[in-house]
Parts: sequence; structure tokens; C-alpha cells
Amino acid sequence: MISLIVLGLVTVAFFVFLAIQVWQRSSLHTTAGAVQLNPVDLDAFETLTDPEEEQYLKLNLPRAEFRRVQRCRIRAAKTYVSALSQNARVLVAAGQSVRHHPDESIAASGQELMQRAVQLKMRCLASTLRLNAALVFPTLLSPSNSVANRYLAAKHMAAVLDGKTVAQVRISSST
Amino acid sequence: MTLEHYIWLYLWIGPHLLLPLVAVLMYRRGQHKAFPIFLGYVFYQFLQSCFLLAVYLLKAPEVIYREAHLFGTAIETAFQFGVLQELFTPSVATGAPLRRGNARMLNWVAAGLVFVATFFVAALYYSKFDRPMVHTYLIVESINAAQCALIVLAFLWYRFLGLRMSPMAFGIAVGIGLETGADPLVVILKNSVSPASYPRVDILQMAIYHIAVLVWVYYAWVREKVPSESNAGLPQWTEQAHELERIVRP
Repeated sequence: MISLIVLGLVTVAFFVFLAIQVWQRSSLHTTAGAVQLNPVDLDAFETLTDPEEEQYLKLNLPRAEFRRVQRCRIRAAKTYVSALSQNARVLVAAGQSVRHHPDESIAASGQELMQRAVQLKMRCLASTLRLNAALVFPTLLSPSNSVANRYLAAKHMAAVLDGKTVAQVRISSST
Repeated sequence: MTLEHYIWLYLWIGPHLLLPLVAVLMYRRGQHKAFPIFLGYVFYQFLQSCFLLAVYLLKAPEVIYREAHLFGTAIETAFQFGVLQELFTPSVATGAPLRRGNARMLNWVAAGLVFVATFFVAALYYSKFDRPMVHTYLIVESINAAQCALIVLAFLWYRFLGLRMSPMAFGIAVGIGLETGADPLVVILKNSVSPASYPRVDILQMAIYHIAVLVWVYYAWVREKVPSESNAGLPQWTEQAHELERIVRP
């Protein structure tokens, strides 16, 4: 009997989940959110995750002090990764919104931006996991800064795409 | 023949007659390129139902019907896993290496979920292991639970990435979700009601399948809406991008 109750609850939860998805999709049609990017200082982020900087601190600080400082740096880096992840989400949405644009070059750029941003998002997820592990073992694991380079590439794509779209809007309005 | 029998017959034939419509709509909207496995699944379900209906109408021995149904369900399950893989793939990649990597990761996730679901279902049926057919139930329920979990993951994955599912992908996910979610519901009901009420439980399951097919028809028919706000907001977004550029590279 208990097994049936548990199975019943899980099934009901699943159907409720599906219903929420349908409801959210229908309500999203009417409320499109404004596009907004969080400002991120990539230089500061690169410094926080720079292996040379980390090596310097390791050599010049007592072991306990290094661990404490390193944990603080990792926590700060996590905040940056979180902001980058949110920006990647915005870039994904921006790319997706112009994927079916009548102008093929804009549509292609949108597709490329979306792909890069998706890769960035996945890299952010991996970085968050890595940073969490580094937080536990600050002396053994070192955080990676490759996520910053991916972000720059995706953001550059977005700037190019945006320039194209704005130019097209201007051409359309002048004709 | 009672009204209940007519309803039962309609719910058997009706949804399967709508399946070719799903295929035609998919072709007209060009969705067959993005979801070839789902299209194959639709054709397969149509052909399977034609065969089973013929077996039923020709009054063939019950064992033939049962074995054909069992064999058909196994193929159907394989198709469903393929369809679920299609749901994840277009969101991430158009390049072959990324698709392959994504498919490999998904296979591992699916295997892990089946493993976890088997433990979960085995724990539920622990006290009934000596009863007949319980092992078959265990396999079917484990696969259903894993598929439901994969559908939940698909929705969460899209949300995590900030991607909007295409109407067809959304429809497929909801339809398959209804189809796989109905099975445990039937198990619960059949364990709770008298055998005389089993046909009504079957009718409920068939009605849920009918809704799933209607969901596929609707989402195959509806066009993807591109929010007009996205284009209107782009110049404003450019300003924000330039601002970000200034902050990042002073």
C-alpha cells in the first residue's frame, strides 16, 4: 500500500510539473522580459584565477594564511562566474531571438552566438563545480580562467550581431 | 454493444487516425528534419495500431495479440529514448562533434537514471517480489520512471541554458510525458479497483494517450512565435553591451 502511495505521489508531482510547464509557456507569450547584461570586470576575474598569482601567494604566505586567502579569492571568483553565467543566458536568448531572422547573415550570426553562449554556459557550470571543489581543497585544486576567454568570444559575437541588426533596422526605416 | 465499448473503440482508433496528420503537419513545417526519430515513432505507432486492430478484428488467439503487443512495446520504448535524445540535441549543437559529445553524455545520464529508477521501483515492490509478473512490472516501471525523469531534465536543461523550446520540441516533451506518466497511474488504479472496473482504467489510459496525440497535432500545427520585443529591445541592448565593453576593457 505504501509503495502505491509513493508511486501515486511521484506520478501526481510529474503531472503537476508538466502542467506548470504548459502554463508558464502560455504566460511567457504575453510577458517578454527586458534584455539586461550584468557588468563583469574580466581583468579582475582573470587576476583572481591566475595560476601565477596563486603560485606567488603560495610561496609568500604561511600555509594556513594561504588557504584562507585562497578561499576568499575562490568565493569572489564564484560571484564572477555566476554573473558570467547569467550573461551567457541573456546572450543565448539574444541569439535565439534572431535565429529565424529574414536576413540570412543575421540568422546565421544568431545561431553562432547561441552556440557560443551555450558552450559558455556549460563552461560556467563546469567552472562552478571546479570552484566548489577548490573551495574544499584550496591547496590542491586551482581555478581555471578559460571561461573568461569564452565569454569574450561570445560577447564579441553578440556585438557584431547587434551591429548588423541595428544597421538593418536603420536601412528598413529609411526605405 | 454498450456505450462504454463504443468509447473504448473510438479511443483505440481515433488517436491513431490523427497520427498521419501529425506527420503531414511536421512535413509542412519542415520539422521532420529536426525530429526524424519522432516522425519514425509516429509512423511506427500508426502501423502497430493497424496491426493490433487487425489481430483483434480477425479474432486471432489472445496469445498472438499479447506477444505482438509486448514486442511492440519494447520497440516503442527504444523509440521513446531516441525521441528524448532528439529533445536535448537541437538545443545545444549543430556541429557534429558537439552533437556526439552531447549524445554520449545523455546516454550516460539515461543509463544512470534507469539504474536509480530500478532501485526506486525495486524498493517499492520489495514486499511483492514473489508474486507473478512483478519482475515485468519492475522493468516497465523503471523505464517509465527514467523516461519521466529525462523529460523533467529536458525542461530544466532548457531553463538552465535560457533557451526557449521550439513548439514541436515542447509538444513532443509534453505528449511523451503524458504517455509515459499514464502507465504508473494505471498500475496504481488497477491495484486499487476491482477487476470489473479494469476496462474503465484502460479507457482513462487511452484518453490520456488521445490528449497526448492532440498535443502533438497542436504543436506541429502552431508556428514558432518570435517575440517582437526582442528586435525592438536590441538597440537598447547594444547600449548595455557597449557599457559592458567599457567596464571590461577600460
